[in-house]
Amino acid sequence: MSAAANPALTPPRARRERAPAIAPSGVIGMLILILTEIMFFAGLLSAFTITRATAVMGMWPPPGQPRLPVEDTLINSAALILSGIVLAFGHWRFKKSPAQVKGPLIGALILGATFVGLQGVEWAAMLRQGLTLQSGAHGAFFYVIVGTHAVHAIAAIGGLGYVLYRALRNTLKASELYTAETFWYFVVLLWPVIYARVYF
Amino acid sequence: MRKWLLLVLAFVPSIALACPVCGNAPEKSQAAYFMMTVVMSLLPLAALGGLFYLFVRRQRRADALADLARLMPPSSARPGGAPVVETRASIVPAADA
Repeated sequence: MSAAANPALTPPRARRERAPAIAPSGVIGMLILILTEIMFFAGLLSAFTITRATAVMGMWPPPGQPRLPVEDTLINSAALILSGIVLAFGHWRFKKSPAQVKGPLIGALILGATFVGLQGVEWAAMLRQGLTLQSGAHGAFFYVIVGTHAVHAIAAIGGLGYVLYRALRNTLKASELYTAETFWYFVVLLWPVIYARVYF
Repeated sequence: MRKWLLLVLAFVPSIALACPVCGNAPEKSQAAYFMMTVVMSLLPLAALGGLFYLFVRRQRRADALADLARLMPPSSARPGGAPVVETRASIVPAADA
């Protein structure tokens, strides 16, 4: 039997064709970026952990420094985690029908913006209490670590905003959504680690 | 002889105690340094390993589905003409094509 008659005998990729990617290029690039950002935050948290371990008499925050708002930040954290869940729901809706992703995108954006906004309110309160970048190691680490995460969150909000813009114009591509989603999940999943290490 | 001596000494670095920070510091500080060294050493390996595992798994799944699709009867023989099994091309949405 000839190869033309029996498909099983047809050699793989007999025709000149490009093998499709196993993941969109944007997602692969974003994962590489996330790898570098993970190491960046690991370095910051590592330095914070060692500094905290070498604190005088093991007291942290150091004497005279205000305590961080652990309970208030729980509300911010819930908003951010909920935004990740809503975006995952939007991903599921997108697979059924691309037009159905707009609602979850708006929801995730609002929740993410709520997180950033409430963090800003907390920062203002901490500044009034005397915790500044120059007030000591406690303040320096807090603003650098949490501030860097906030910058990433703002960039992720920008990415989601662009995706929403494309969705509203019905020109959204799957790879664009997946790329922005990947970075958003990174921001969401990183926050509990920072919250547990820095705030407690 | 000198090479063997150096090799033996490589396994007992605590003899050196050369670092003024972690070699002569309180126990809590030494523990923190040690734990963070372990974390910073293993984290990139774990992250890269996870990424490679993810890609290899997706590639193997795509290859398996493509092989299965190649053995299926032509789609025109099925009602509606739609293939039953996802081909490699349909695993990743081709919206960018």
